[in-house]
Amino acid sequence: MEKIIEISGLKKYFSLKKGLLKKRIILIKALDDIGLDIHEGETMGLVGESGCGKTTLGRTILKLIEPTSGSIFFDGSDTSKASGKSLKELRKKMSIVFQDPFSSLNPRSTIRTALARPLIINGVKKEMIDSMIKEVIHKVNLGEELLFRYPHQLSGGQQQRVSIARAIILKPKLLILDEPTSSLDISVQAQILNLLLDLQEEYRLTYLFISHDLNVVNYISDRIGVMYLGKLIELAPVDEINTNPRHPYTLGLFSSSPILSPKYRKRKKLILAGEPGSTINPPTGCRFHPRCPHAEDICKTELPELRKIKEHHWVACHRAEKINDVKEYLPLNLRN
Amino acid sequence: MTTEKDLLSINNLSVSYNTSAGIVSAVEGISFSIEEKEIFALVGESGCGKSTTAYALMRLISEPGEITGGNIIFQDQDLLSLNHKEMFNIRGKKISMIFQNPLDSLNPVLRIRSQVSEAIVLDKISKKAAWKKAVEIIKEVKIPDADERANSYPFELSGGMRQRVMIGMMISRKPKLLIADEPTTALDVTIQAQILEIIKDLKEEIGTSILLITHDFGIVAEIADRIAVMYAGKIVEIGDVFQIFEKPCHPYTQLLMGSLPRANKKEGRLKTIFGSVPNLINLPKGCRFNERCPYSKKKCQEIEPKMEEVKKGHLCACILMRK
Repeated sequence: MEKIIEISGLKKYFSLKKGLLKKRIILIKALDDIGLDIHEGETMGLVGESGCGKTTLGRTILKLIEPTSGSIFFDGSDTSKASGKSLKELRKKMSIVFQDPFSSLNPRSTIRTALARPLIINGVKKEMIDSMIKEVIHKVNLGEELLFRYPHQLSGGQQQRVSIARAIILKPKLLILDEPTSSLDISVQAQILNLLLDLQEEYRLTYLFISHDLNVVNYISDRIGVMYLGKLIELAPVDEINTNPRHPYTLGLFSSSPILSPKYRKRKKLILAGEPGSTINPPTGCRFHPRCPHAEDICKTELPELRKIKEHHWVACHRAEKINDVKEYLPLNLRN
Repeated sequence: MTTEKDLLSINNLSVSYNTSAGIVSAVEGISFSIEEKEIFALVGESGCGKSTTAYALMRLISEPGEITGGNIIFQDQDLLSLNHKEMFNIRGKKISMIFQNPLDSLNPVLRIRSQVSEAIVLDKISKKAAWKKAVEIIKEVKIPDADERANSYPFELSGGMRQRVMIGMMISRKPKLLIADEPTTALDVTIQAQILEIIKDLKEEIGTSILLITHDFGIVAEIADRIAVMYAGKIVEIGDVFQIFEKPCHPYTQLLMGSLPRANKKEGRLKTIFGSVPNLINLPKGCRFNERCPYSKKKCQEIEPKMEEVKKGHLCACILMRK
């Protein structure tokens, strides 16, 4: 499969000025040495707890945030070199859908205006605009009568459909979906997930799906990446990561996440103690070691690299091969 | 419907809000009971009336809302007939409540210790003893460095710790019933798992019953004993958690179960429900779900279905599913 995104050595440090005279500078290492490829037409799920950097990664790919160092190649071209006209061209090819559809739509513009905007900015001919808007609004299963309404007159699900329509109207290649269903009710969530699958088939879209809800990510993804305090700690195809997670954090996350069926409630769960901590002052060595049930001395001093342990399976853990208790926990393929 | 084991029974409760747009019947004629030492989940999508039910139970419905009918029997007393002072003695002592966002429920300018002891002092123990007990409570909900944390302010704690403090405060007087309104919605998965463990322990160790209000079927599947599913202000189905997940009776519940993402997309698309939730001011006649129901018949638009037993302990409000 062709790589659409190639990220290597990506770092994003935010600096915070602290102290009375704002002279003390604290670095927040939101992304610390991330390497990741995304293939054309796949859905890459990105999971992790709040503050792990998953949203920052999505925005850095879109160049909404400038990285501190490292490189991102989109479709073979280096995005850090894009500026002015070439950046505009680049942005046509990738787009984003946010969690809260209401706050990502201008309350004072009609739906039509919201959808026309990306077209006008990108110099689409006036006579084309109407037909393109009508086409896209049908694609997201909304009626044309909504075009002259305002966002507050729409339900949450309809608003999210409009956000998706706006994101795909220029026929991008990559769509970053940042918790697109988190603020929606489950029946509406199902509609949106089905819609995303339909659109992906039709336009051969590539998705980067960011979410903290493992059931949703397990449903929609082909591959899943797990982040912890600014680091990508495990990356594998969806079945592999569910049946054979090699990082203790991945195991903790997957096994403590609720399963949507009461018959599995008595399963053995690895409930991680403690809390993720912060990217301001992350633990030395492996960032997960204070919470890790398998930590050894080496974990406290040496930062584990993301390494390939199997075809398509990458993990950043010193002890990945030595952890044998995975089988005691219930994998996804037995869940249904 | 009331049996001896029942701690609480709600009969025909109705709550409506009198708004300028019309009367919103948020909850209409719902009945259910909660047994001793039971986790009872009230589930449904936003606007279905689950939180309104909880607020009504605590008598916290305020203008323009009004409880328009029914009764709430708690330990042989009708809560709706009590005066303010009597209700004050029930709230916090016998029934307490935790909310979704713990930061909104804690006072930002008071230390944790004084907020926790505030409730205990009501039980006529000295302030000094209450302060000591506050630390014990903080320890009980498994907050590390309890002594130090007791002297912290809410903003210095993480979301998970704040929710533990809330739970600690609420169980400090060993209530018979704890109402938990979306208690883990604002929390991360690993922290959610820790909080759910604490809630389960509460039931086992103190014998508190829990009324869990949530839209998250995952949490329900993990900890609830029985469930009531609400739709547009009505309960459409009540039963044991295993019964409802395995053999849902009401078409709405069936469709909801089908819309849960359980496997991978390779296994097929999710089920969806046609249309959207009706406006509570202008409800459809007959069954409130009839316009969206794939099995809807003409009589569904005429007859308002009543809750009927389909199996022991399993009630369902659908005239088509009647045996």
